[in-house]
Order: sequence, then structure tokens, then C-alpha cells
Amino acid sequence: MPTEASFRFSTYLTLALACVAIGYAEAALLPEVAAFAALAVIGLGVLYFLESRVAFLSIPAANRLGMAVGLLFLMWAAYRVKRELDTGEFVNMGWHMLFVAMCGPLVMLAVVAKSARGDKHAGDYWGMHGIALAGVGLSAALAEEPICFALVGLYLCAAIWSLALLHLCRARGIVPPIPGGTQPATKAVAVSTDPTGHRTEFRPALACALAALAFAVPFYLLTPRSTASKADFGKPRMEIGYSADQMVDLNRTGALGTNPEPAFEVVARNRDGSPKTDLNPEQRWRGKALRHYAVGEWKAGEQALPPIAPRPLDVTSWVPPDLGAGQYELRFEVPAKLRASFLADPVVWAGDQPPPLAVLGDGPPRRWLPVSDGTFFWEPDPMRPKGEPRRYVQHTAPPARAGAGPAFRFLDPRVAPAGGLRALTQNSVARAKEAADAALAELDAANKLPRDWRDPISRLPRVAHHDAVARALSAHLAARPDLRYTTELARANRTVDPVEDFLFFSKVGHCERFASALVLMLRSQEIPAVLVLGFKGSEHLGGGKYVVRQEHAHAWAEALVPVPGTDSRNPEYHWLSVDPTPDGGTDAPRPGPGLLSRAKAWASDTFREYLADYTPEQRKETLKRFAARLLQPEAIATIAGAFVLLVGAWTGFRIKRASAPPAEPDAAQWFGELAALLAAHGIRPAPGDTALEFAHSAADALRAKPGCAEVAEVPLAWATAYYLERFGGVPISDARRAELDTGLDALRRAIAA
Amino acid sequence: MRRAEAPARQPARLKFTALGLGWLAVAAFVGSVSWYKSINLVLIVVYAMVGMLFVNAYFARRAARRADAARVPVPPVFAGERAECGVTVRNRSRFPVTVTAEDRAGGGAANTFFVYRLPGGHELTCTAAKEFARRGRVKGPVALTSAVPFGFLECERLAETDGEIVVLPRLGVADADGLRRWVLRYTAGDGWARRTQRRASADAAEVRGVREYRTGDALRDIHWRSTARRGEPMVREYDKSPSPELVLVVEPWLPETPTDADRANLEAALSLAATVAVHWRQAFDVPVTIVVPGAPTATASSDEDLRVALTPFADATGTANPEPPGAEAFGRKLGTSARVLVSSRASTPFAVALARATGKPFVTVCPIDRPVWYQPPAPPV
Repeated sequence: MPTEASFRFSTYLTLALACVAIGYAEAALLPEVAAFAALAVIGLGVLYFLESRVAFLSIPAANRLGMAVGLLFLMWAAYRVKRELDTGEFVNMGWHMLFVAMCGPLVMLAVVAKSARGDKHAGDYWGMHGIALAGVGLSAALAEEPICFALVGLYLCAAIWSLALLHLCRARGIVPPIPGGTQPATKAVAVSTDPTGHRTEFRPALACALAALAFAVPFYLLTPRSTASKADFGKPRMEIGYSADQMVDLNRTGALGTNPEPAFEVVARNRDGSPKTDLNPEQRWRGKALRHYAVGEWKAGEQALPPIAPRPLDVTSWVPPDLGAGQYELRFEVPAKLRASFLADPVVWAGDQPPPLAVLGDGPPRRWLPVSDGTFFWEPDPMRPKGEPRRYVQHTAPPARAGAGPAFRFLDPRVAPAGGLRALTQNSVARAKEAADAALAELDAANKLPRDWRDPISRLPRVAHHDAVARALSAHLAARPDLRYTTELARANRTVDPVEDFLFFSKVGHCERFASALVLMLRSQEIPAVLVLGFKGSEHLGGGKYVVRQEHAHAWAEALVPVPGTDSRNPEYHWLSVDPTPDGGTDAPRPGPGLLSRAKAWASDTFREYLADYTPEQRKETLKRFAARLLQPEAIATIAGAFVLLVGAWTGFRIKRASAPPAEPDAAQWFGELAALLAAHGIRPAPGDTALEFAHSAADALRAKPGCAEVAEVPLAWATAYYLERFGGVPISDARRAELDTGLDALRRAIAA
Repeated sequence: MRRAEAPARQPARLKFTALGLGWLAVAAFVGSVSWYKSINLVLIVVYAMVGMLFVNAYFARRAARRADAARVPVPPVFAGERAECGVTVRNRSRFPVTVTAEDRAGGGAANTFFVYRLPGGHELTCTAAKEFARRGRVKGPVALTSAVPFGFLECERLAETDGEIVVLPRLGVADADGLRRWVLRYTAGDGWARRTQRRASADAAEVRGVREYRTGDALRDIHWRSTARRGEPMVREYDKSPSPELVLVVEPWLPETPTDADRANLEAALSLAATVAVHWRQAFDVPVTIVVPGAPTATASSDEDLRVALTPFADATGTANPEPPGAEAFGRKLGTSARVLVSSRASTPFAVALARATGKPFVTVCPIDRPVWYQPPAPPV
């Protein structure tokens, strides 16, 4: 029989784990909740220690304690409300979030107060478990994180153990039923193999927990997902994705979630019309350029760039340009909700050719016009219904120079670059120049810059070498060993600009921080630069059809630099795409070399993929992947092999079991049988009785029972044999066993008569 | 193979307990909200809660199917008597099972036995005291239930439905000596209890001497002369003389349209008859013959036999025209035995008919007579 101590321990462990989960989940919102949780755990430990030693509180006393605890909670809540009025910590999340978070301490206090009640009945235990479950639900909702997941898992195991023991204790009558409910009938508890009752039932409960989870996890993965918006409990959800408002805020901190939702689709065809299936996996899709930076925020900027010199274009019709070898066609379909057009970056265009972009509509394709901000302009069809996806075609080819866009000249050569492009060289972060100077010095020392790259008077890069300097700075930033890419956004020094914080303090960040740092560093060297938002990479769906997902969102920099070798008096410019994110930027942080960090990264990725970001699309994708893996010959062979092995093992086990002789029960089991027989007739050991003490009391009870006096010595004989074998190490002879067995039979007959 | 040899068994029924319904309701509510709003960690907890229900159902069903139970045969018991009723639980499998065996025979609280981890192949007999309020044959199944491990779902299997408990009428208290004297006093008469035929003092035995008065001694036994001489009450002490065997006939009369009072009289008569038989048998250790019209005659020479012989009392339903048994129903014992007729009505014509049929007068008594040697049982609560 499981002991009462096991039951109490499992109950207090469950409650303590619930408190820990609440404390962990709410620590980020209300730091003092962690202290509440620590106090609650200590309180539960003290109560566990005291429960078997002193009488606990009566119901009125427990009610008074509950009132006192409630008053303390109200005082704390009042303090919190006052603080919120003063500081507005929850202003972004809302008051409701504060009140939800305040439920955590209330749950913990209620659990402790209820535990202090003496003579707890089944309703009290269920009440405590209910409160704890509510608390765990709250914590699971507030913190969808791997550690919280682990805490919830531990809580589930402990709760299942405790509930199993609670059921046994209720069935045995140790835990009284709810007053007013069905009263227990006569109980006769039969012990079987463990007369002293040392079972904890932990292993069976663990098996039950695993079975419950084995049901829950596949069920969770397979069942359809809701398409409603995910509850964020006041916490703004941050994820890798293209922002339709086209703003970047580098002040944000926290983990970036992944969003596998498709952004748009592209169909690639070769010049001969065949599907192009070898699209560059690192292909960037340029969306929008942001020019204005201030205090960590990028905006589009209102100041227009100077006009560029027009080119003679055929305005009547559009035919695809001839871009030479390797030319291919990309047909885009971009949902209107993105409010942007995306182009394969860089745009490849020869000046004497028709524009490589055209709108696809009901009529003939209509060409786009190149504009000086590096993009091409197209006039939307005023008749196009709102909400219609943007459909257009781009002809492109591998660029002659990596990252270089089409060349153009400004209409007025005098404004460029120092005049009308002043907005693109404004740097509000003074230390960005410090970082750029240091980087250029390093590059110069390493001979990675042209010999005369710097103007000796202005100490700035010469205009003719802007292209080389931009490329070198980008490569240097991407290779700096002290800068690390991560999607866990953090700030080390909130008193400085986020870019300065990134370059000198936190040194960790995602693509937007790398790109922003490069833009400001370029600007500090009077090289006009902008931040570009778009996507990088795609997923081939087959047949030349590619999908670009939100999780492919990316940011990089573009520098407006003269085309190398151009006439310095009326230079040609082009936008140069430079991507400073290490390895070109990945969607997920790269784990370190250690096994632990790899395991941590794997756990984090898996948690995010299957739990935090398990959307309908993700589910569909997972099932598709699973089905694809399942249909592979190796998988089929593995499953078949495992099945054969299992069947073989099971058959072998059954054959072995059927042919094996029945095991000889040891003395302890025999004594258990005796104890079971006596218990079935109302003779049970008192709490804490040793086997010998129980044998003595049983002998007395048998002497008092009519017709059983002659067999009263049987328990003593059994106890002696049990002690001899268990503690004396004296094996019982067959003759003695037969003798004991005979005595047991006599006892069975006498007691049943 | 084992299944083919096993006797036909009742199917197991799985049902939610109140606790399980509450659990399911909470899981459904929280699950709906967390699914709709994609609170995935909570959703997994909810699915685990549902998984616990399945685990509970599986283990409860398996335990209930692996065990068998049968009621331990119980000899006839008297209503109001604390009898040891039991259930034998057998584990038919090789693995331990935890089940609850509930003996649902009779009204009132059922005897419930919680059997924890009964080893494979073992059986365990559990007994507990039980009282039955009224006479009759008590039937009812032995239910094997299991709600392991959580108590959310309960699997119930009615393991055995045959086997009944015979409950005899509730016993009153009879003064054996007073009964004996009363019987012997009226045995020589014509069967009417109100007529005195012999002196009571000559009935019991020969006087052996005197002794001090003890509580409970009859006043008529006080030896006044010795009392006066000793200055303290003294009573006569008798040598016990051999007591005659008892032939007890019961007339379970009940009118065609009985009232509650008539039914009460029948129950009282049966209680009186059982009390007379039991006390006579216990006090004098002689055979007692029980005759109930319509039922076979039985003679009991031991207490155990007597319970069996009294079994027709459990079945007596009452009749308006009971047929008196003939002399052949009594064998040769009738002439030398004390003959008592217990009827549920006063001045019963059955006594005359019985005397004519047997040729022997019977001392007739009815509960309404309120015999001094008899204290009827307390009514059932």
C-alpha cells in the first residue's frame, strides 16, 4: 500500500511546482512574483514537515488565515496599482494584463492557505489541485517558453502521481469524502505483497503521465489549428516578417518568433519558357528602402531624391529586354496587404533596353519606370479593384557585378551626392563613425582597401572608391567575431542609441541591427546609404514555382555609389546592395559548437516550431513533411523492421512466460499473503506497526475470535520466518515453508468458518 | 484458450464518475478557449487531461476484466443479526489488479471491499459484518468496479448474480424456562392457551434445594419459609429434567385483503415462532421440528440445522386458508413432543383443525397474546 507520506509528498510537490511555474512565468512582468513563489515553496515545505507532527488549523482558523492572506494580497495589489499609475509600466500591455498577472500571487497564497487546513477532505484536495491547475494554465499562457514547458511537464507528472494516490487514499478511506456527499461503505483493505506499505506508486504514475502525453502530443500535432488570432496576453508578438507599415524599431527586445505564413509567390521561367528550378537560394527580394533614422527607428522619409536623367523609352508597348546569357523571367503575385512590390535584387538592366519590369493585367503588359531611389515605379491601374494582388513580371539575369543595380545619372550633376542626397548621409549616432573609422583602419592595415581610398584632407573615402569601401565595410561587419547574430533581441545599455548599443555593448542582434549599423557607418563616411526591407531566400514548390514566406524577411543596406570607372565630372551612379548580416542572415540563431548549445538550440527551435509558432500553415507543413518522410523507402523499411522486432519480442516474451515455472514466492511475499488474509477479515496493522508488532496484535485478535484460538500462533510463526529471511539472512527451508503453508491454510479455514 | 474455457461473464460497463464529468467539463472549456486563441502550451495540458481520461478508462477496464468475484456462501441469518458476509475476489490474470468488490445483496449500505494489487492468480476472501433489516431471500449482484488510477471513469462488471442470502425473521427474546413451563403447562389441554391443565410448579423439574435469590429469578420460585428463616430472599433450585422435543407449527395467516396490521401480525408471529424455536433449541439442546403449511417439514438437531429448517419462515407470504398438515408430516415424534402452534391471528380455527388432523392438541400462541416469557424484537430502523 502506498504510504500516506507518499501521498502528502506528491501533493505538496505538485503545489510547489505549480508555484514555481507561476513565479517563472510572471517574473518578467512582476518581478516580486518570483519572491512570492519562493515564499510559497518554502511555506509548502514547512507545512509538509509539520503536517504529520502537529495539528493543523481548524476550519475557522483556516478561514481567518485566508482572510489575513487576502488582506496582504490586497495591500500588494493596491501598491501595484499605485505604482502603475505612477510609472505606467503596463501602458503598452494594458491594465487587464496587470490584473491577469496579479492572479498568480493570489493562486499561490490560496494554495498555501488551503494547505494549512487540518482534517482535509477530498474536496479540499481537489480544491488545491484545481487552484494549482489554474495557476499552471495561467503561467503556460503567459510564458510560451521551453523552460516553462519543462516546468509544466514536471507539474503534470507530479499532479498525475498525486491524483493517483489521492484516488487510492479516497478508496481506502484515508481521505474522508466531501461532507454531505456519499459516505463510504464498509471498507476492507487488502494488502498483497508489501505488508509494511512502502510503495510510492511513482513508477506507475510516471507511466500514466507518459501515456497521457503520448496521447496529447500527437493529438495536438494532428488536430486542426484555429485560424483566429493568437492570444498574446498583452505582449506584442514579435516575429520575423515583413512589416506592412514599413517601419523598423530597433528598441524592441525579446525573442523573435518565426512566421511561416506565405508572403508572396514567384514563378520562374527560363528564356525558352521552361520552368527555372535552380533559382539562387540566397536571392534577395527588395521591398522598400527606409531613409530616415532617429533614436532606433527607421522611417521612409518624406524628402524626395533628386530626379534622374530620363531615358528614351517606348511608351506605347513593352517587350522584354534582352539581358544576355542566363536571362530568366520571374512572375510575381504579391498580396495587396503587403502594400509593396518586391523585385529580385539587384535589378539587372541595360540602359538601351526596355525596362525589365512590366505590370500584368487584363491588357498588354505595361512597363515600369526607373526612379532615383533605386526602385522602379509603376503606376497602379486606377480600375484595379482594392485587395487584388499585384501581378507583374521581371526579367533578370546574373548581375555583372555582385549587388550592383542599374546605372543612372542625376538630372542635375551638381546635386549629387552632397546636395540633394544630404538626407542619405545624415548620421545621428556619433559613435557609428568611431566604429567605421576603426573598421576602415583595420581594413586599410589589412590592405583590403584601394591604395588611395581616403581623401587626405577630409579624411573621408574618395567618391570614386565608395563602391569598394562599402563592400569592404559590409564584409568587415559580417566577419567581426565579436558581433553575433541572434533573434533573441536584447539591449545591454538602454541609455544609448540601439545602433551604438549593438556596436559597442550588446554586440548581438538580427539583420536589422547589422544593416542599420552598416548604413550609419557608411553615412558617417559620407557615403549615401539606406536601409532596405525585403526578403531573402524562397522555397521551391516544384515546376518553377517558389513561395517566399514571412520568415524569409530580411534587411540589408544599399549604398548609392558611382559606377567604378565612370566619368568623374558627370558620374553614373548605381545602388549597391550590401548585406552585412553574418552568412547573409539566417532565420534562426546559429548554435555554438558545444553539444549543450546545439541541444539548447535544437530544443529552442523545436519548441518554437511546434509550440509557440504552430500555426495552421505550420501544421500543414509538418504533416506534409511527415508524410513525405514516411513514404521514403528507408522509413518504410525502418517501420516494418521495428514492427517485426516488436512482434517478435512480444511473442518471445509470451512463450517464455508460458513456459516458465511459477516463481517461488519469497518470505516477504508470503507474509504479505498472510497480512492480506488477516486484513480481509478486519485485522489490520496499526500505523507504524512493524511486522512482529502486527503479528502480536493479530495473534491477540485471533485468540479473541471464536474458533481461531488454535491458529493464533500462525502470524507469529510467519513473522519470525519473515524476519529470519529478510533481516537475518537465513533462507527458509522447504520443510519450514511447507509447515508455514499448512499453518496458513489452517488459519484461512478457521477465519472463514 | 483461456477465454474459451472461462464461464460466460457479464460485460464491463464504463461510465464517468461525477469527478470525471467535472474534469471533462473543465478540460472542454479550457481546451476550447486555448484552441481558439492558440494558447498552445495550455492546449497541450488540456490534451494531457483528456489523455488521463483515456488512461483511466483503459486501466479501469483492464482491471475489471481481469478480476472475478463471487459471494461467499452465507448460512441463513436472522434479520437484525450481524452476519459475516464476504466476497471472494480472484485475479484471473498474471498481473496485479486493484479493484473494488461491492456486495449489493439486500438494502442498506453495501459491503464494499477495496482490493489493492491482488497478485496474479491469487484470490482473496474479504468479509465484513452486515445486518439485514427484514426477512426474505436477499439477492443482488456482486459488482466489481475499478476506477484506477484516477477515479474519473469507473468500469463496473457484475461478476455474479446467483447465490442468495436467506434472511430469517427477526428474533425476540424468550425466557427459556418460562417458555418451557408455559408449554408444559398447556400441553395436556385441548390446545387453548388460556386453559390451565397442570400446576406450573410441577412442570419444570424436581426441587433440589434452595439458594440465594438472583436477579431474574421468578417470584413464584421464592421459598418463603427459608426466606423468613435466613432473613434474605431464597429461591428453590430445581434439577433439570429432560425437556421434550419441540414440534412447532406456524400458521402464516393473512386475510385476502390484508391491512398493515395484518402484515405486522404475520411478521410478529414469524418472529415469535423463530424465537421459540431458537431458544428452545439453545436452552434444552433437543431436536426441534418446524412445520409450515405448504413447506416440507424439517427437524433440526443443531443450531446450524435449525437455521436451515427455519428457511420456510423467510419465504412465508401468508395465506387466508392455510391447510393443516396431517399426522404423517410429524412422524412418530408428535406424541412425546411439546407441540406448539404459532399463529398470526388470535382464536385461530387452525388449531382445532390441526388437532383434528393430527389427533393431538397443540399449545397455541399468537403475538397478540403477549406471552409473559416473550419479549418481541425491536422494530427495524
